Amino acid sequence: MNAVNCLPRYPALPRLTAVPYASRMDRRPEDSTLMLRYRDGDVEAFETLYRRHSDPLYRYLLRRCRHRDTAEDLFQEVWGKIVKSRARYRPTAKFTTFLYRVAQNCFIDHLRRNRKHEAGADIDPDTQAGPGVDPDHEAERSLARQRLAVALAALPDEQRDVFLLYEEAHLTLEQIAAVTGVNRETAKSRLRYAVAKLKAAIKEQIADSVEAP
Amino acid sequence: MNDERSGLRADDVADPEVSALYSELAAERTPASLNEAVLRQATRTAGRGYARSIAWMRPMAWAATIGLCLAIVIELADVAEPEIGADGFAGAVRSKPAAPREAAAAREAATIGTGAFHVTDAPLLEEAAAIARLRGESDGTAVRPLAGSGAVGSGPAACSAEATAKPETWLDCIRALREAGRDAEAEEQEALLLAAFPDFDVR
Repeated sequence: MNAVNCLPRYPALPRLTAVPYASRMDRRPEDSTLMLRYRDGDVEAFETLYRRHSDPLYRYLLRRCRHRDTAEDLFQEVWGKIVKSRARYRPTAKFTTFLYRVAQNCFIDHLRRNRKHEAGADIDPDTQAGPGVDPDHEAERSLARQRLAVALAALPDEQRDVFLLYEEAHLTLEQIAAVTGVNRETAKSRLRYAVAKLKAAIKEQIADSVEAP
Repeated sequence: MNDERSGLRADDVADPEVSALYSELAAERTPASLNEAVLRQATRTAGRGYARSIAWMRPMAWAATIGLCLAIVIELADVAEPEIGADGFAGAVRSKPAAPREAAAAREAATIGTGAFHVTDAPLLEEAAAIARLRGESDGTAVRPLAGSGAVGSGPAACSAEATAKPETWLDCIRALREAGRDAEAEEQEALLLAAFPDFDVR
């Protein structure tokens, strides 16, 4: 009998990937952790946080203001407030909720200051074609995107706000309610109306294209 | 899509087709100039804030350290002080045999009639008084001799060491002094008796 056979036989250990918490071990740091690190002077943490949220916030403001210069001003103002408030930051709520609440306040302040956003929209509806796509299909999608952009711009402010918070910030209904200062049912109702109108606009376009010779 | 979002999907509020089309539509990226401006501001502000917090905390840490040291020193000084009327007196005499302190202890023992001395303290008091007296002769601050220690003192002792060994015999000695008309000495001996045996009833 050799030495190996003398060793006790243990049941096979589960594979690391099969352990539920194994995948969580290497997940990226939480937003609130990054914010707290930035509060303590870690600029890299802020950069990570910024890269994570800058594009969605930019698109949110762009579609809310419908004016590029105003959106950029507000974008800078929002991040400026986040930077300044780092010492007071407490991770009591999700960072995204905190960020979009600040954005919401900045937008409301902007509305009070002037009515610039009421001027015609200066953002171009997206018409770019993706690579390697059927031209006919892409033309159809492009038209649908244009319809969606127009319908989105035509939505009442409250409904557009809720839709953008849902699509860009990926907030839940409770978080949307917290950001917009309404109850959950109101937020849900606004989102339902917004989605219904957008869907109707897209379907209308499809119906038009079917009817066309 | 995270769990919270899937929970919201279950509400059947959002539409996957609209979401997919919107994600195609929403392709704008933050302009590089804007990124630079925000990150520059964040870096500048963070550095300032951090330096400010450090500048704030260092003196605070020093002040806290000094305060702690002072508190410890004061606490230790209080512990070393002899406390008349408590059992800690004998320990204090033993732990700190410095002449001035012992002289003070002896002086207080001779004048305060509420001390809590035991019979076992008598040799220590005697020793302390002797040291204090030797020191006192050189600087002219000699203390009064300890009563009850018979051998200590320049004149004849009011009560002998044998008499002061027990409170009963000491009291007998005091009564004898009173009968002899030496009231001042009797009072002094009574005070010393009370200091040595505070729980003894002299009446």
